[in-house]
Amino acid sequence: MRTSHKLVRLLALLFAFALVAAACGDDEGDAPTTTADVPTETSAAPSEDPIVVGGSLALTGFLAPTAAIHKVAGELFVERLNAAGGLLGRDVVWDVRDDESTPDQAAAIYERLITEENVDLVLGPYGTGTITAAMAVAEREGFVFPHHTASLTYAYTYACHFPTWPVGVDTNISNPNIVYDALEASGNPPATIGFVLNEFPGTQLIGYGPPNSDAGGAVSEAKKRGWDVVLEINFPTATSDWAPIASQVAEADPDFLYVGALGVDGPNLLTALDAINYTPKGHFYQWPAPGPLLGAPNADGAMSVTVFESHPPYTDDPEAASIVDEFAAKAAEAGIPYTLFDVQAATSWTAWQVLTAGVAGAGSLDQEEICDWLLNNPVETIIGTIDFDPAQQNYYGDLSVIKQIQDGKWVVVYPPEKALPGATPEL
Amino acid sequence: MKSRRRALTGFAVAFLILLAVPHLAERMDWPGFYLTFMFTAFFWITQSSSWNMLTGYSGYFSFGQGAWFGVGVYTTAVLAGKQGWSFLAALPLAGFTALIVGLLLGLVVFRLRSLGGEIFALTTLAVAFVLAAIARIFAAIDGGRGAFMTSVPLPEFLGEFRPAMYRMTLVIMMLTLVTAYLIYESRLGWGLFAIRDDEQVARGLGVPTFRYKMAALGANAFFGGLMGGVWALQIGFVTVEDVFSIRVPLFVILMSVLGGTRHWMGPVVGSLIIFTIVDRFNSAGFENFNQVFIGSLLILLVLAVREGIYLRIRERWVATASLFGLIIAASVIFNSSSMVWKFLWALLGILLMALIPDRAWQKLALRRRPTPSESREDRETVDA
Repeated sequence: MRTSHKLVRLLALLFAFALVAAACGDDEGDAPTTTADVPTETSAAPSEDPIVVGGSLALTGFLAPTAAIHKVAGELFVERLNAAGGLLGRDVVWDVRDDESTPDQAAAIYERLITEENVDLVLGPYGTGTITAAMAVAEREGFVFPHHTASLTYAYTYACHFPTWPVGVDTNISNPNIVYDALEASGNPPATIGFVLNEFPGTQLIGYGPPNSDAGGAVSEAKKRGWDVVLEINFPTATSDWAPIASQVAEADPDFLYVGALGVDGPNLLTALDAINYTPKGHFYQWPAPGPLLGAPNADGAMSVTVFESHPPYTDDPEAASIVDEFAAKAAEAGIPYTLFDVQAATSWTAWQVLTAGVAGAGSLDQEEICDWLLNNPVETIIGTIDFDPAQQNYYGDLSVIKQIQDGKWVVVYPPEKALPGATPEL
Repeated sequence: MKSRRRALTGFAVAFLILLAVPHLAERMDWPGFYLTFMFTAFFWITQSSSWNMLTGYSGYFSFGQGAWFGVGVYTTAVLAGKQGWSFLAALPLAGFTALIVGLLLGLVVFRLRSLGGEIFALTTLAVAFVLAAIARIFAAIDGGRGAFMTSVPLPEFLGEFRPAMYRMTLVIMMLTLVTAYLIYESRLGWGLFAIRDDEQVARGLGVPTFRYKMAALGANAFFGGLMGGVWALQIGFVTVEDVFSIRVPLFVILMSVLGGTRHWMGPVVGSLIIFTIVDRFNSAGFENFNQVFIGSLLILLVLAVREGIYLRIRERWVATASLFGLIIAASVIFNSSSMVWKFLWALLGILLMALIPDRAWQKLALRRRPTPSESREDRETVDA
């Protein structure tokens, strides 16, 4: 009993002493002490502190294979930016967290980055769901939000979101039609077409258009061209058993297979098709992880959309050529199987260019000033000049072009002015 | 009766104090993250406490928390996000829809005695899969395209987004805790604990087992769904894969088991500890180590503190409270990190305190033996 009382007394005494000391001490850790603590009122006062850009990427989860490309691209951009003197005379640090490919994690991370870590700027994550969730946080906090890979174009009404994958606000109409135009240009358009669509929000938008709208998408646009839709499969995002889907594809045997999928869905489907000795006559993949698709069986002839590839005319600019080379080295170092600087890396690069152009143009870290500057000035980027149009929810037309795997390499084949010299769509 | 009145007064006082936090935060210019941290903790406390009303009290192990949460999320996502209902009109339906789904499940599984034990657990897990498939199939719910909550306006009287989330989650958490406490203290609670110990004996003693289990499942589903309804706002963009994932039920189980399932306060303590650790790991950029750490911690605590942390530290409450205060005070003096970090250090202190074995503690503190009047031990001791 005596010992117990002694212990309690000792603890109580220590506690009381600590409280008194605490009352006398100051607590610098809790109150905002720098301009960076109040993000919307940050300024570009001369400082040795780096500018912190916060964000997340799907470093794990089903989006991770492609997000790895964005990580390398972002790191390379920051390295080159700092080597060239930084931003507003300050170094830039990228604080990137793992959102595990899930929207609620992404929302929590952006909330934390903005309100706890007091980052100066944010850059969007990879993937539609995570970007959409993170954008809501950025909007609440008044942060400028450049992002590269969100696909629900109709839904993004935040005035200061800046998309850098140039697909246009009506991408469900424009994007499939670019693909179909390429098929027509091949001189051998399909008579029948089959659709295999991931139940991912972005691929559903491309396939069918926005919810509660009769605008339509890839399926209805194909019908408008008089093509017979012989197959329409929707599969869950986490599908791992591809055999039943492959069987249905083989049975329908369309002239052209439109795979509205992402990541490694395409290679998985091709592997399953190969297992039943079926080779698609012509095939398209919406947003594939480029490396795995190259290595998939019967991948030759596969098509996809892009805005940049590591060949002329895109690499005619020496600056672009040096970025492509440095990216390849860095991607190889990071263990990424596909080291070419393509659409994923390019849109990521463009997002960084937009963010830094906004800051440099505004001459400040004030979010409103950056937003105003971006809304009122074109930005020169690696994918061309971007002029955000508020009337189109900050989109600026669909600049997609068609690439195809030919002789084991991705090459742009359509339209002719953007194609690798001499390359044409082959069906 | 007197102790119940005292407890309810305590709940009211705690509620009023917590209700004042957003005003304090604004006046003292606290970092916005503090409110986010708190309302996320309220979310987890609600989920784990509601789960405990069924599983902790009655012993029916449920994986259904993801289903109730998902039903709640999608109810407000459809009604407020897609149909344009006012959020506060849609919110109660989130709870009631989950309640109805829960009771329908209960009608089947509690009537069939063969669906006990592992089969009951698997059945509740399957419910989440079925609901996810339904949401994915029907475009009116999701149709695979996700549902937006980003443009849903909140009533002005709730304030800006963060204080509004804080106030709504606080109210739901307090309702859940008061319910958990009242069940625990009531005839219903005694009946549920009797079912947990031996259902056949309980039935023989006159406990209306079916009715009691339905009540517990209903309360579990209602509060899980109600909080899910609010949480749709925090997610912003609702997708089937995210909402019906195993994450919510898994964390809720971990939190409750860690805190202790034999007392209504157990899940509260477990939620605070696990959520704070996970949050700080994420904050420090070690999010990938979360599961390793939490898993290891759970193994350690299941072996060392089988009754759960709460019952262990309750036995040592003076020392625990002193240590908690001491660590907070010391970290205020010597550490300039945020209050959330200070809170974590103090919680880790509690964990260490709980890890001291009873024998060692008795030697250290020469703890007096419990008197016969210290009842309830039969309810709160660990299952053999």
